[in-house]
Amino acid sequence: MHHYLNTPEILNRRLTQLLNRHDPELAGELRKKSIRIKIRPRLRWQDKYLLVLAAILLSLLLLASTTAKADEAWGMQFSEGDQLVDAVALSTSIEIEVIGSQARVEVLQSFHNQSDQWVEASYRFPLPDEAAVDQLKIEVGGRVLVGEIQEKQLAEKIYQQAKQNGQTTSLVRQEKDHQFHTKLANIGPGEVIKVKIGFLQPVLLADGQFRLRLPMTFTPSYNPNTSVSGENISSPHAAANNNDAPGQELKVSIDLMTDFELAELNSSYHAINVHETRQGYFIILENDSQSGHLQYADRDFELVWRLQPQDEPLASVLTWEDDNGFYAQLQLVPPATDFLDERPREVIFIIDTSGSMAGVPMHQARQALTVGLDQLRAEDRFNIIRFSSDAKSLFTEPQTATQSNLASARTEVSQLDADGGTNIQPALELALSNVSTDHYLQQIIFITDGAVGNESEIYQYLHEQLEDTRLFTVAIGAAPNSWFMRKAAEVGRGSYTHIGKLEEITERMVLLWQRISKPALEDVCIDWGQHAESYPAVIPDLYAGDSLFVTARLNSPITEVTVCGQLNGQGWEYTQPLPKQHANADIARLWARKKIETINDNQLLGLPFNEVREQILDVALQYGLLSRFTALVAVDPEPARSAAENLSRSEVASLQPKTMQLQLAQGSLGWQLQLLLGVIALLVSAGMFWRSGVGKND
Amino acid sequence: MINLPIRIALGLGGLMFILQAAWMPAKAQLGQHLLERNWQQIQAGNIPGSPWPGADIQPIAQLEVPGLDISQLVVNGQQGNNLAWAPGLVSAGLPGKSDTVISAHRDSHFRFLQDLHTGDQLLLTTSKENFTYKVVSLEIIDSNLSQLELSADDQRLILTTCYPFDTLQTGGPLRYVVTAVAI
Repeated sequence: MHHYLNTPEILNRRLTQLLNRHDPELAGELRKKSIRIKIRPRLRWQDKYLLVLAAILLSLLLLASTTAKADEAWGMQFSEGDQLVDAVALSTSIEIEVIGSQARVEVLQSFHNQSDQWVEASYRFPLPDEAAVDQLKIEVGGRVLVGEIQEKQLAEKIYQQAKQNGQTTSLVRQEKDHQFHTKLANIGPGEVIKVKIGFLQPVLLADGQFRLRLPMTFTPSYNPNTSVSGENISSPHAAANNNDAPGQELKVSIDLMTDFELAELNSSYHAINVHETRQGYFIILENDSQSGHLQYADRDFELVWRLQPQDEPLASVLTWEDDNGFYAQLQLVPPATDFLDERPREVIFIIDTSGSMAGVPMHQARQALTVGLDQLRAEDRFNIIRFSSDAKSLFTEPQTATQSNLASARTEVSQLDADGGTNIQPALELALSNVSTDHYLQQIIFITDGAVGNESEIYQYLHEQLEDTRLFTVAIGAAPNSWFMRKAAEVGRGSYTHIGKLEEITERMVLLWQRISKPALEDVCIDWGQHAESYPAVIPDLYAGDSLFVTARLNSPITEVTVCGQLNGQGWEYTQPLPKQHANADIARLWARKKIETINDNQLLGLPFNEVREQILDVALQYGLLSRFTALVAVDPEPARSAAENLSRSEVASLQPKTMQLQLAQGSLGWQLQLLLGVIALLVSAGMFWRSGVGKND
Repeated sequence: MINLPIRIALGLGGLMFILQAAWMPAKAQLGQHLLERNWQQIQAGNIPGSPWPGADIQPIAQLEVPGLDISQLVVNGQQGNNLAWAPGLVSAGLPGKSDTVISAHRDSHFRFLQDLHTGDQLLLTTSKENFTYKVVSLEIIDSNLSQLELSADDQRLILTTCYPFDTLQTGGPLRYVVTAVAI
């Protein structure tokens, strides 16, 4: 019997056998109630020790790997030896200019090196999505560094050269993790350092509401009513700094440039003062000097506004003029929904059932399609086309959304299964042959993960064949081919929706539905009065609750622009005089950004890399934009030494005073401890494998 | 018998740590090797490119200890990640002009400092000149309590690293400082 006790599997099986033989009635009863005999051995002392050791080691490993990446504080930190000390901000001011679809944000912060040491400063700033710093100015001890956009390799060279010359310098690359980070050496004792960064960030628009959100977590969260917080006590500098805190200031001002009257203008989390100006509105954060503390710094700043509802579409234009030409950004806003007719639609759903959709994506796609079917009204018509290697439609031609037709569609949808290749074209052909030519709004809703091989071919096909049909793409899954989906929707004058999670399906699909159920202006055309290079190339329809932005560059100034389109199925035209005052140079930059996007897209449509690089460099350098091929580099224009000496690279000039004290650098890598931990972990793991082997064999 | 996932996680974690740990001394070796080409170009009077993609360091001197058969390339600056590749020269001082400070990690390049004795010879070669130094003092200082006193009028060579040499703990306050004077 000895070996039974060592191996619980055999013991369990043997006990079951015995029970079956000697008391079949009890065995049957147990089976019926799915009660199983299961005996687990008590851990022997060796295994217990191993388990405890394993737990300790695992937590040590975890701890060691997390402490490796600490110091993620925002704002400025001074490194003194191997210690990082939060620098105290003397003042922070944020100036924002809202120019249609974008906001130019400038953050100016000044810090004081209160120690008696020369320090290196590290500055970190959280950036909103899609924002990249393109302006940089650092002032320290009478030295001024101004950032310039240069070709990447050249920027690198300039940076290296300046470093050798002993000049203060800073190189900013496009950062991945939504943060801006730069380092600066040689900050003298008692010096004040001023950092100014500027970036463009998109204004969000959903359901008629504009939203601008800015992280404020980088600002000093000081409050004189509370005592020094626990984390500061460890650092004598930070604690001392707090005594000077009443000098801190936080100023936020927003210049909202718009012709439109606003129905609503609010700050979500902060008290604001609003002033009307000739160009729109000027908003400042309510002065809190009376209360004497910055109670606001712990939450994001968010400004929301909504336009006064109108009875027809309205346009507003912002302009800029310089040596390179005349620039304009046109914003078109829809009328209030009450003035829009609901029109019957013919909706063709195309659903991807290829092998790449198998599992969760297919489930999501089925769900999205079902939500779509729920939104149809009785007068609408619809059809469903599924495709993988081949394409097949539910009905031979679109059918009215009657209860029985919807019921059979639902049954069909619930049986959809993912299998086979991805051949999109036959499905599109089928969908386009399907559409009738009467007064229905023709919309294709295309649900897929976008895993297609022949993207540019499909893109071409859509470009040529879509005509009046609008294409809305719905991407499923965690990492769809969003470039293709976005481009397809663009050429199809529709929109792109991404559904990443199961929980989002209903919300996103209903939102999409609301958006597209009421087109406010179709077949939009814009007459600039002369040849204009304008983006987007294909102008989408304008939908209720949305805004349409078109930017253009013209050779000479114009005084008005004419917008036309179909409003409730009728021809509509409107001429907007241009403002007498120019907005600012960012209008030109916005246009240039769109141009760069278009060149990037052209690469995916077959433009050779060399030409893409050349074209993008041209635009990016001319307009001072960050791109794949440019970087921001800042060099102290004041060379520390004479030009003759600059030639020798081994000489590094001294910015230091004649005698100085030097903080000692951290002197070890610590790889031996890591190696030891690793080896112990591996040995314990091997020991555990060996113990379990012993258990089975003896 | 004991949970399989724990065993595997521990094994994999251990392996990852070993690889990570092994990368550090490997990096120290590799850095020297990669800098060698740039150093030759500099000595030939050319301005070389980046020693490897993404590197913002260049060799600016060669440090030799004839008695210990040590020869290492020294780079500009001593930011944390520079020192992983090569010993770093503090931008404050230049050989022949003022005090020169070179730092490196005690568990890679500057392990040899523990073998130095007073009277040992150190050679420092820049792109233009050679300097010879004699070790005059070896001391251990607490970086929390004292700092290096440098003077622009002296022309000493000061080598620093962490101390003690054989501890597993990192980030301690003690530093080993070797001071040598020009001869």
